[in-house]
Formats: sequence, structure tokens, C-alpha cells
Amino acid sequence: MDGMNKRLLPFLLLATVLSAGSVFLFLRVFSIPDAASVQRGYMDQTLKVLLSIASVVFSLVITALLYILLSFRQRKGDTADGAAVKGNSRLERIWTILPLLIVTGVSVYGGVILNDMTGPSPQTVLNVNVTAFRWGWKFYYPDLGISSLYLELQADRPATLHMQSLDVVHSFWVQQFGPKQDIVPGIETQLSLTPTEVGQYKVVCDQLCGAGHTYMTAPVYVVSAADFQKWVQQQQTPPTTTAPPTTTASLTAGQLAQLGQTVFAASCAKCHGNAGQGDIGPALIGSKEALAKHGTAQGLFNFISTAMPLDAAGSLSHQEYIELLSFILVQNNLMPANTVFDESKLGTIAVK
Amino acid sequence: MRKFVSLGITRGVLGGAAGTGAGVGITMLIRLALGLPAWNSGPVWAAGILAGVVGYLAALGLFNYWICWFFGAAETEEQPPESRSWTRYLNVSTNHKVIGVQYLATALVFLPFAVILQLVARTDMSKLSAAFLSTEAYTSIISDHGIVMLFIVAIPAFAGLMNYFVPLQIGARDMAFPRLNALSFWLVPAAGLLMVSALFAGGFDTGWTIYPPLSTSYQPLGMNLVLIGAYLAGFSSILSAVNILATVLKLRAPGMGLFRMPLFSWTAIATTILSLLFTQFVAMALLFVLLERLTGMGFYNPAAGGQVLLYQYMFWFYSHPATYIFALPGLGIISEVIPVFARKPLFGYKGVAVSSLGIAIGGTLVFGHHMFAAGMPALLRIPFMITTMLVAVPTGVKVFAWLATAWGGKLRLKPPLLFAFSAIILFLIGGLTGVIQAVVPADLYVHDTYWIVAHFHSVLFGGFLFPLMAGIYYWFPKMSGHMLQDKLGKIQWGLMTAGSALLILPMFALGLEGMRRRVADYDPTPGFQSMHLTTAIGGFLIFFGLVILFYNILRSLRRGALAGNDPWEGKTLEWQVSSPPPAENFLRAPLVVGPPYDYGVTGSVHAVFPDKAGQAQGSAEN
Repeated sequence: MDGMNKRLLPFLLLATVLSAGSVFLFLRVFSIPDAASVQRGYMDQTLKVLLSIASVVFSLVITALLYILLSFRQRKGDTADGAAVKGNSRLERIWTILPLLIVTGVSVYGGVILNDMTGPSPQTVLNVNVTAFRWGWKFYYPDLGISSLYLELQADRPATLHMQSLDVVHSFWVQQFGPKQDIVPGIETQLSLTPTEVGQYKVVCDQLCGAGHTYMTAPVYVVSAADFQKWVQQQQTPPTTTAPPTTTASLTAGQLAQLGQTVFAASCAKCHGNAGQGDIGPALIGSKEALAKHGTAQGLFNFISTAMPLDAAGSLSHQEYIELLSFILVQNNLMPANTVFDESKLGTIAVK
Repeated sequence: MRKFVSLGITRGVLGGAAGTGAGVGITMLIRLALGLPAWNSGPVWAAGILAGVVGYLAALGLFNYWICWFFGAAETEEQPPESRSWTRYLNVSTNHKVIGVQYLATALVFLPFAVILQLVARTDMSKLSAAFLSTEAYTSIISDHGIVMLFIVAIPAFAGLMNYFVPLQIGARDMAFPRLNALSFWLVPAAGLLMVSALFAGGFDTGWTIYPPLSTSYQPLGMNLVLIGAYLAGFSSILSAVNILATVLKLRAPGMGLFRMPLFSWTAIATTILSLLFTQFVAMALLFVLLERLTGMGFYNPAAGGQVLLYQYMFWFYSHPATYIFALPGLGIISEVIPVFARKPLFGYKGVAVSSLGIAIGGTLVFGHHMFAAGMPALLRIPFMITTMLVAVPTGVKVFAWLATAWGGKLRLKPPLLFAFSAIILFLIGGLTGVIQAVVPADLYVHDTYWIVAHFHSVLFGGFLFPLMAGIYYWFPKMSGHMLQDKLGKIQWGLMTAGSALLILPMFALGLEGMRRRVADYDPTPGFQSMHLTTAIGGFLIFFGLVILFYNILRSLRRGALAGNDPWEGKTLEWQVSSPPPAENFLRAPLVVGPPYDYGVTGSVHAVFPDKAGQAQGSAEN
């Protein structure tokens, strides 16, 4: 036994060092990027604790395996069998009960954290209705009467998202905020978040929803209380009707289409293909299937100016949307290139 | 040429083609008679394929006995005594050893196919060149990789080893239902063919989990092929489970109480209980998807009174126990290999045996952990967190028992033991990360990220792939009569172990950094590309390991050293007969008199073979 004890000592030392080292690693050095919410605070702490426990267990088992491999190999010429040990009730009881106690403890810990994380929301919660669809996001603030294509949140104010899907299962996830929640057609799912850091983030869809899943994103802005109030006022003020820009008054559809081709290449081609033939997004040139559901050129314009491009909906200028519309209409022979473009007549041009 | 045409598999293919043609034609005629347009790819192909499967099975001759019995005719001649030609594997055989090899060979044919699919995807994601896969192609490839690996590689590979070795280990002559056994096997190549064909019929971009409404409303024909293929594979699994359970429970040799039975047969019980009782749920979940696609029945359509989450509940009710179906036989193989190669009894045999049932039963209560973010009632997540963590306890019993078995032994570092040790490490990583994910707040972050992908590859490599390699190196000598080359085995082991580390560890990091799974692209983020490249390199190393395996197998079948009855000095019953075993396994019936792993225990004997005079003989021969 003495021989074994002597050999055992360095390995016990190794096991201790590995275990302690990995715990230190996880508690001090390791961090998941950019926590920016109350929920992330809980989740990061949970992950650190759990990774530490796991790494201790892992270190112990690896050390045992290393020791076994180095100490108990068959020596050359030794054909005898090993020690005839069939079991040890005490040891077996320990390695059944001890893990049982550990997992029970971890369960309780997890339950407590979950409870703290999803506690009841106070009165000042900001309610946001989230609509997910293939492949974008729409946000509506029911208490404020504001619609938006991006999510505006107030720092340190709890928000409750009420989420619905128009088609398939999607999932709402802002990595820096922590938890994700699937969005399921036919029911409303909810997610509570309290962002803490002012900044710009991105919501991604985290449930495979088809070809556009990778790019199904929307911007998220977390701003101070003052800035949030300013934003609310700005959004609630009815938009002043602007007269159509005169720049289009004397241009032909063909001329606008030329300009529109450049805009298309920069903003649309990555989903609709370089020649509009379709890829992630449907074909826009050569096939009118996707266009036809908008009925008229006005319907099509309304759609693209508010919902496109998918990853930055509504971000182009009015002029650019007009140029894009002309490009699509001319390429599909829905509007002759030499006609003077008249924005007020878009409702009379059928798309089919 | 005559020999080719007379092969069962040729008849099967022809019968399948004829059946498909007939099915397509009849369906089109019925549609015309109903005033519908004759052609609609979904229903017409579905009917055609189902008719094709019936034609394929009938042409193979799998229904002959029951048809004759139905008409009261005399049973047709059984096949003439076992030919030793390799063509017997291309025919219908009711011998469990032939069927076992057929299952294993099928799995080993589809394994490199599924690996190569993922190698293509990993290469695309390494961004060494511009993306060469469209989003749909990428998603179809990873989806097919998953479903082929699980239904056509993992389940059949272990079905093959269980079919071959459970009857031998328990001292039986064959399985309880040999004809049913043949039917169970022949469903698998058909299922595999359908799942591969799906890639040429538009693919499917739902992931292997096939969630509706994405699967019901937005998928091309390929989705239907996968659904039917999965249904056939599930059917095969259920029938095979009936057989194995009946065999183990009723056909054990005299003296073989359950606690004198080898561990691999214990895990066979645990595995087949799960296959028998739970596969039906995924079958129904998928059948409802197919029905909704073909007929518009609104199982999962809220507008028609259905419920989207219903699918997820039914799917995961099976698919969680399925993970134990994939892993339990592997854990059984590790329990077989360590005592033999450490020359020590299995430590705490009873605990390890019972833990197999503990894992199986516990594993039926945890399925909700796949749905923590799904929209399940929030409070339900707590009991699932608790049950998921409890499954770690019987799993830990196995791991600690293995360590204790090896401790103080005289380890023979042959490939079976090496693969078993790598398996333990990988399974441990998977298990520990599983305990982490069981905690709901942690899962709400890592769910549907690369962390999860890393976790399940870890448990699958540790519970399935590496034990499969250990099992192949351990039992190939028994199946073929030749030894596999040690040196090649060790090189393969090195490549696969290193490759697994390079594949799995970066994916944990990627997941924590927020990389979602099932996305075809990623924003330029520091470190992401090099981590993806590393996983791709790991994948290629594993593939090279598999190439070495195939070379080793093919070479050793002809030129490997003769194995003899018991090259590893094992005590269990399969090592007491010739390699390969005689057609009826035991020339003299065994009488089990002691435990199966008493290496080093003086005077302990597992089984004797009484001759006609009742004299105990040590060997089953003459």
C-alpha cells in the first residue's frame, strides 16, 4: 500500500490544483460578453457557479483516469489477473448519495435564481407587443399607441414583451439581455427584461424559421429615461404630411430605375439575388409572384418603404424607395421606361 | 448475372420500384375519378412510396410465411443450411448473427455519408472561401446529417450489436422471433434511402426536429420523404425492441439469473423498454405532420383548432428517451470492455446493472428540459429541472464504477480499452454540461446556441460513437474469426480523440459567445472564424479515423490474424464458442454457474457445458 500512497500523492496534488485552478478561472477570468440586463446578472452568476462545480468534478475524474493509466498498466510478461475486488458497499453508497445531495442542492439553487429572475413586475413596467414573422419584427407599445420597427427600451425600467407570431415558431433573443423566449403561433408568450446599460443591441431570432432565419434581426436601443420620454413624444406626434419631393416630378421611370439599380445592389441584392432572381428573399424580377400580393404599385411601395430591407426596415429615404420601386416596375414591364413618373398615380398601376 | 438477379436485395429493389409505380399509378387514377387533377406531388408520391415499401418487403420474401399460414398452406422451405458466402448478407436471413452484421454494415455505410454532409457544412462555415452553400442547401444538409445519424446510424448500429451478441451472451440459440427480426432489419435500408433521397427532392430546412408550422406549411417534397423514412425506422426500432426484450426475458440459459447476466444484455433490456414504449409518440407526432401536409388536417394549426406546441410535447416525449436509446448500449459496452481489459471484476456489478434501469426510467421524466424556452407553463420547468438533474445520479454510479474497476487492475491498452476511456471522458463532459443546462436560468441563455450542439455531440460521441468503436474492435474477432490490426486501431483512436476535442470544445465557447445554431452565416466577430475552422479540422480528423477503420476491417477480413475462440480471455458466453460461432451458437447448451466478470477470483466459473452424460465440460465444442 505504501508504494501506492507514494504514487498517489502527486496526483492528489494535481487534482487539487486542477480543481482550484478551474474554479478560479471561471469565477475571475471567465465572462460571457457584455451583460446588459438584470437577468444577465443572475444568469452569469449561475453559469459561473455551475461551471465551477462541473470543472471540479471533471478535474477529479481526469486525474483519476490519468493515475489509472499510468499506474495500473499491464507490465511486460505479466499475464496474471488484477485484484479480485468485486465492490465496496460503503464506497458505492457514497457515490450514490453524495451526487444526489449535490444535484439536489444545485436544483434548489437553480429554482431560487429562476424565482428571483422572473419575479412579479412592478407598476412601472413598459409593455411592448412584439410580432415576429418571416423574416422580421414589429413592435407596438399598447400603453403609448406607438408602432415601431425597432425596439426602444428605457434603462433600468422593467419591460414585459407580449409576443405573437404570424406564421411559424420564432424566438426572441438579445444576447446581452440574457434569456430567450420562443414565439408560438396561436398563443401569446411573454418575456420580462430589465436592461441596465444604455446602448445599441440587436434582437435575433433563435428558432429556425426558414431561409431568412439567419438575418431575421431588428435593432434594439436602450436609452436613458429622459431620452425615452423624448422618443415617446416624437413618436406620438402625428407626422406632418410632406408633399412628394419635386425631384421625381420631371424624371422618367427609366431614369429613376437607373438610380434604383444602385440602391438595389446595395440594399436588396444580398437577399433577393444580384439580378433580383431570388435567394433568401423571393424573386422580384422575372417573377411577379411575390409582388402580386400587394395588388397595386402603391401597395408595393407602402410595403417596401416600411418593411424593407429586412434587417433595417424603413431605413432608406423616400427618394430611394421611389427609385427602387421604379426599378422593380420597369424591370418587370409594369411601367414603360419613358413615362414620366407620377407618384400620385401609383394606386392605378396593377401589379400582377 | 444469374447470381445477382437471384439476390434478395435485387428482388427487393425491383419490388420496391414496381410497388412505387403501381402506387403512383393507382393514386393518380383515383384522383382522376374523384375529379381532382391527376398529379399532386405530395399525396401521389406518399402513396407511391408506401406501396413501394410494401412491394420491397414482399419481394424480399418477408411476408411469405404469414401469407402461407393465412392460406393454410404448408410452410415454405426454410433457406438451405447457412451458406458461408458473403452474399448471404444481401438476402433475407433469419439468423440473428447475419442480421446483426447486416444492421452494422448498413449503419457503417450511412455513417461516412452523414459525416461528409457535415464536413461540407463545416467547410462552408469556416469561411476559407466565399460561401458556396445557399442557405437552403446548408440547412438541408445539417438537417439530413442529424436525422440520418440518429435513425439510420445510431439506432441500427447498436441494434446490430445487440442482435448479434445478446443471444450469445445469454446462451440462447437465436432471438425469440427470427422472422420478425429479419423484417425489422430490412426496414432500415429503405428508411435510409428515403432520407438520402430527400436531399434530391428539395431537401428540408427544419432541422432534424421538424417543428411545425415550419414543417407543415413551408417545406418541399423532401420533407415527406424524411417523414416516411423516420416512420419506417421507428417501426423497425419498435419491432426489434419486442424481439430483444422477449429474448432476454424468456430465453436465458439455465442458471442465468438476471444478476449473472452480462451488462451489455442489461443495457439491452433498459434500451428496448424505451424503444418499445416511446417510439410511438414520435411516430404519431411525425404522422400528424405528414397528414397535415397531405390532407390539411389541422393538428398543429391554431386556425383549425390545433396547437403548435402539441408537436413539441409528443416529439420530445420520445426524443429524450431516444438519447438514452442511443447511449445505453454504449454504456453497456464500456461495462463489458473494462473488466476484460483490466482483468478485474466489474466493481459494484449490481449497482451498475440497476443503474441502467434507473437511467432509462429517470430519462422518461425529463423531456420538458428541451422546452424551457418553448412557451410551456413556466412553473412546469422546475420539476423538469429536478428530474433532469436526478438522472445524473445513476449515470455517476456507472462512471465511478468504471474507474473503480480499472483501479488496481492490469490494464491491457488495446483499442477497445482506449476507445472506452475516451468515451468516458467525452460522456463525462456531456453529462456535466447537461447538469448545467438542466438549471433553467442557464438554459435560457445557452438554448439553441452552439453550446447545445457541443453538449449533445459530447454525449453522443461518449455514449455512442466511441463505444461503437470499442465494440467493433472487441467483437470483430468473434464475428469474423480474424483480429483487427492493433496499430491501425490505435492510430484511429488517436485521430478520433483529437478530432473530437477540436470539434467539441470550440463549440462550447462559440455558444457562450452567443453563436446561434442552425444559422448559415455569422457576423464577423473576433475569434468566431478560427473556432469554426478548428471544428472543421476536428471533423476531418474524425473522418480520417473512419477511413482507417474501414481499411482495417476490409484488410482484416482477408488477412487478419486468426482470432480463435477467446482472443481477449473473456469469460462471457460469446467467448466460449468458435469465431465465428456455429449456426446454432452452442453445440452443447450452457449451464450458468457464476457471475460473468470474476477475473482474478480463484475458482470462479461463469458457465459450463454439460455433455450427454451430464458431465460438466468447460467448452461448448464437440
